[in-house]
Amino acid sequence: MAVTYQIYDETASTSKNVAIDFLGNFLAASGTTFNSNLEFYFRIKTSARDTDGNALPESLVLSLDELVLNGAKQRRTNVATDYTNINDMIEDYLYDYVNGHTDDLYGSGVAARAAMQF
Amino acid sequence: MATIKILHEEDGSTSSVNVILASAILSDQDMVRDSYLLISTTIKKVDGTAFPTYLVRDLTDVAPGAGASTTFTELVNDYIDYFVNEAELGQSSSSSSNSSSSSSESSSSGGYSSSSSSDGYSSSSSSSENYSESSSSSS
Repeated sequence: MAVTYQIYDETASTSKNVAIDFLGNFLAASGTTFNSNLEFYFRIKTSARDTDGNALPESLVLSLDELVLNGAKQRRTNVATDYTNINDMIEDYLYDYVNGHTDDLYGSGVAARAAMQF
Repeated sequence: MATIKILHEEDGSTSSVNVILASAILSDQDMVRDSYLLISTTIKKVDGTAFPTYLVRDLTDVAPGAGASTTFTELVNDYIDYFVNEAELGQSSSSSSNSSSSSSESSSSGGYSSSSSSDGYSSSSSSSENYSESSSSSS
């Protein structure tokens, strides 16, 4: 039962959806030693694309210290501190989806990504 | 939504803990839209009453009596431990084992076992009108 956050663009008069859910699963990743513990996390995904036509990547967030810009910086505020709460985390991830970011924004080491296409 | 099923090994009964992401305007926060987790369970307390639904806004909204959490995995596991131990699910008189205070949700240590699934379940106890702030419930 995901929560859908709708983002409306006044210029294009269209909206895009971002679905966020809280899940519990075992997680595996290539190149990472499998941790056989059940993990609880937020899953953030959207079918929207950026203005270059690329799919916007899905994000998994296991803790409030997982900042959207490469784990190093918050997108909106250029700070390196943990998110204050779940709402702040979600809003920052949505902001990054919508606005994209430049290469190495705030010295975070992140790769450039274009803004959301409406 | 994450649903954690808890099987009582002695009588085969199952209970569940549900963790749901919700987003709404909270009446006690000046009409600001907020996003938060609601943690509820079908487990009953020893006296037969229901546990409240706990509202979690951050990693400090931990289960009653639990220490600070650094991840949501730790936080949810602490709530599961709290529900199971508070309800004394592992203290059946027919069992030779004592209750477990282990932080692990793994099976066989305290007369219960758990599994989790994230899809295909509907919540049976997800009322958002009956939540309580976990921080205010801590003793």
